[in-house]
Amino acid sequence: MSDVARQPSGMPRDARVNASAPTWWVVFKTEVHGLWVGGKAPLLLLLFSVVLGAHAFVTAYNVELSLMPPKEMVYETVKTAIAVGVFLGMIIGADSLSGERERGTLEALLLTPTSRRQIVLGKFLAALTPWPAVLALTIPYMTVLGQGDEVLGPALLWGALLGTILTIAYTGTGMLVSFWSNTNRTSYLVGLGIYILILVPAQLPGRAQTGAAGQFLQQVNPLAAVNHFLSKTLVNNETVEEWAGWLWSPTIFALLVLGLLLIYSAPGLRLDAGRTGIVRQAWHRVAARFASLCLVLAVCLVATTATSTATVGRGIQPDRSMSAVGEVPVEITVDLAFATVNTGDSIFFDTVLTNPLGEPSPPLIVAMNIINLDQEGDVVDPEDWSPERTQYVDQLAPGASVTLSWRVNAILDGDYIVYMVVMPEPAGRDATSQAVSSTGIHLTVMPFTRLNPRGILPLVLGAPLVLGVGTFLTLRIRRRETEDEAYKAPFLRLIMVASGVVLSMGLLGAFAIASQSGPVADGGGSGATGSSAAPTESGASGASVLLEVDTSTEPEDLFYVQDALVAPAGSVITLTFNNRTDADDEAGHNWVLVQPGQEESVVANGLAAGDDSDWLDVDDPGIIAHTALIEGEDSDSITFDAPPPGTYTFLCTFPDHYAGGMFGTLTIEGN
Amino acid sequence: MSEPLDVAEAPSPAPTLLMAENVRMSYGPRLALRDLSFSLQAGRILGFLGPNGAGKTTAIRILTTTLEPSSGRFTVDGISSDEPDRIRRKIGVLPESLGFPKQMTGVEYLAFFGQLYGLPPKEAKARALVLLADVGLQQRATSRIGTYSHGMRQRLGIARALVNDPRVVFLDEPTLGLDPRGQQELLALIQKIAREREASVVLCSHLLSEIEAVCDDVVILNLGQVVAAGSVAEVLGDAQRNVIQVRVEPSSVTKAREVLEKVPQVERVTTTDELSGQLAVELATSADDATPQEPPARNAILEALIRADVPIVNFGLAGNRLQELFLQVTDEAIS
Repeated sequence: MSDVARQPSGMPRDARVNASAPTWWVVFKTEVHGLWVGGKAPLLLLLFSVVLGAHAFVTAYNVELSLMPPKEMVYETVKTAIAVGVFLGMIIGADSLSGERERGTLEALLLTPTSRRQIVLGKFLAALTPWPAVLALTIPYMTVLGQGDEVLGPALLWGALLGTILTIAYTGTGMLVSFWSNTNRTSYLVGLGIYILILVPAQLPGRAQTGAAGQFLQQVNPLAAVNHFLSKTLVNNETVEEWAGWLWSPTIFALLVLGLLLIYSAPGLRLDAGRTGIVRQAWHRVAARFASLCLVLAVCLVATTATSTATVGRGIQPDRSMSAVGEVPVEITVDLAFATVNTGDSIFFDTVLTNPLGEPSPPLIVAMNIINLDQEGDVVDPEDWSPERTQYVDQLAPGASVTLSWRVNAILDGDYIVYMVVMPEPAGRDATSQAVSSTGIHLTVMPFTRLNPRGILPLVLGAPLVLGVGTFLTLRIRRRETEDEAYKAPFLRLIMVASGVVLSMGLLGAFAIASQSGPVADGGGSGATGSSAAPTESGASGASVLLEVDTSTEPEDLFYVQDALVAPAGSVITLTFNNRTDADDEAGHNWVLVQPGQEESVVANGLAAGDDSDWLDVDDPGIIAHTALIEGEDSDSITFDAPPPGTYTFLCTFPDHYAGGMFGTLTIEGN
Repeated sequence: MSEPLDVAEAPSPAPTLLMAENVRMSYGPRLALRDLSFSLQAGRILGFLGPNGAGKTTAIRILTTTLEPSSGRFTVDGISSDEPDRIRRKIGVLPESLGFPKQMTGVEYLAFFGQLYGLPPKEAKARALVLLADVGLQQRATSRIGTYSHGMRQRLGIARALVNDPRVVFLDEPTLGLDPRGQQELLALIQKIAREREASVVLCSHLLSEIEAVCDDVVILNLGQVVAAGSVAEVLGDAQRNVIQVRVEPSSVTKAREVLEKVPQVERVTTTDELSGQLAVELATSADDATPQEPPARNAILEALIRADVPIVNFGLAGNRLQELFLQVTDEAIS
């Protein structure tokens, strides 16, 4: 202990100011170093990866959940990332000032001649740093769950933008709470209370969310508004312009918090949160009560909305006093007759309502209904299948018509009829009206190609492992640095660890995606084996169509179960042919599509080709497409371009089968 | 003790670095500090004394600008309390129960604060290393603060207080919880700061021996009020000179009192500690001719005790003189 007084002269201040870094930057650097190299942020991230991995695995593994369309899985992952990012920001923000008070480190900071605003700004920016990492961590999960869906780009873009706005807002809120509390306990309690209060409305039952008050509540609540916006634009294919109004509340909230924090509060940062002893004590009491009040309120809110939902359900009573039903004031047509899609896909169609009468129609209500044609199948809840099940139309002038657009999400595989019912609004309490129904849309939903949970497993297990190793190495580098003076370039090593983590995560993600590229088809009874299962969308030109043809199970029955197939012109047809007979029966069949008028010659040439060629001359120009000759219990799939519009015959070239009645027609419908 | 007195009596008066005028602080109806006034010159060490809750920490926080006084003003090196930012450049503070970020190393910690005072990063680090050497922590410069002992943290805290080369250094209970050796070293360090840096030191403590050993001036607070202020010599001169401490076997306390009260020069006898047999004997002396009269009075007392066969354990002038004063003035204020 010597030479305490070696520098009695003050340093030339002007020179110092020029060369020194701004306070916020110094504080930011130190806080970031503490947060990341100190191990707190990596550990939180590690925890998050475990949660995210569990979520992804359960989503992929669980049959019910895996029926979620990829868009929705991506949306759910973005939602989770935002919820966690917001939470981390809030926790770190809440700790930032009250934690320093508690640890006794704030006083030293306040004793420096630095701007309070800059101290707060530095801490605030540092508290935001976990968010980009959280978002980056979700990218591999999102990519795997998205299965190449084009929603990934917009999801990342909007997730990053809105997540940043929300993280700013909530980190600021956490810091504001921290500003006025002396202990972390209070900060966390109040912060958590606010978080739950904000989270709860987003979890309300569906009906409570759609009422006028519910809508308003959602739109005002920044988190709910963002979730709503994301779900509408990402999952429901709706336009950004349509829902841009929902972005006001998070933006205003963020700006408000920022202004309050940096302009109003920051300059008054003080050692003691309370102004006076009395106020402080009152504040402590109020804070604790506020937190419990938040919890109670949240519970009450859920309870009341649940009961109100129940009341609405009971409120529907049949109206017995019917009055005479007038003339039918409306006609309805649908622009789609049938569609074959994969589970998770959507169909879009329009209905046209026309008023054929000479007088204006009453206001009309159009409701969509979906019936499962399979008697054993599940009853369809149209609410699950359509974002908008009922549409309202003002009265139609005589002869006028209106076009309504609809969307149906194919949730479960099966055979369905979708139809619309138009209900003229009854004239009064004691009046009723006659419904008009549209023709049905025959909707065939092919089984969902389920995610391969085993493919996700490397990511689910690997990500926490990689992050764990990264955290461990970071802490070890830090320990070596602080224990061994000869230890050089720790910063370089930290950079290497960080890049190693990023690289490994990228590899894990790529591996998981690669193992998904050949998705396992769900063998749900159809016996179809996975061929090139191109994504299918019906109706549109150039789209893919899935067709399936079965034989009878009896070997002596010479017919195709489906003998009248239809496909739109210009489509790519994937046809799966299943020989349903017993393998022991040795009944071979094929499916051959022939040019009109060439049926006899194709059969004759097949017979000439003989058994060795499977009774088919593959070079015959009369053949448009054909499957292999297959034995019982076998299947074959082929893909071919639809021929020009017209009616074509398909048949079996096995000797005598065509003559025995084994043929059918494929109709290509023109536009 | 003689050295500081010399400084005090130096012919050219050192500049006044710290001056408080009627500083008052109230928390609602409770008055935590009333009318604190004192001044401190360069190179001198001021002891800030007072029982727990006397307002010491409140006073320090006001003088170090982390609390705003309800009324009154003070100046640091000529800068008025209206400009706290400028004052902060002139002061260094070791707050009471200062916390440290455990994950940082000593160098990082000091360099961080150096930068907050406007030093460029490299200069801040160089200064941090010098300061660590000054307080004897060069060996542990790159260790995490979490691994430091309590004494090392206190020394690091003092180093932090010196980062900006302050004119006035405030140390709130710097030796709290230190072993005697650590305490000694720290006090030596504090004296060095005052002497070699020409800085003033405000040393807040409740350890009276410590204050008496290093301080030139003293302010004693009780219940938010200054009960004694001035140089140590002045304050002690006001009282205490005519008190003799006698310790007898506890069993004969009563007998000793009887004997002592009969001695003519004795004004009053108080039992300061019944259990250990401690008595304070106040001599009947007028302020003017106190000094010449002392030796015979002491002899007379001792003689009386010996004659009465009172078993004496200890006999002498008030040993911890500041302690006596402290107990007396704080006691008076309470009553």
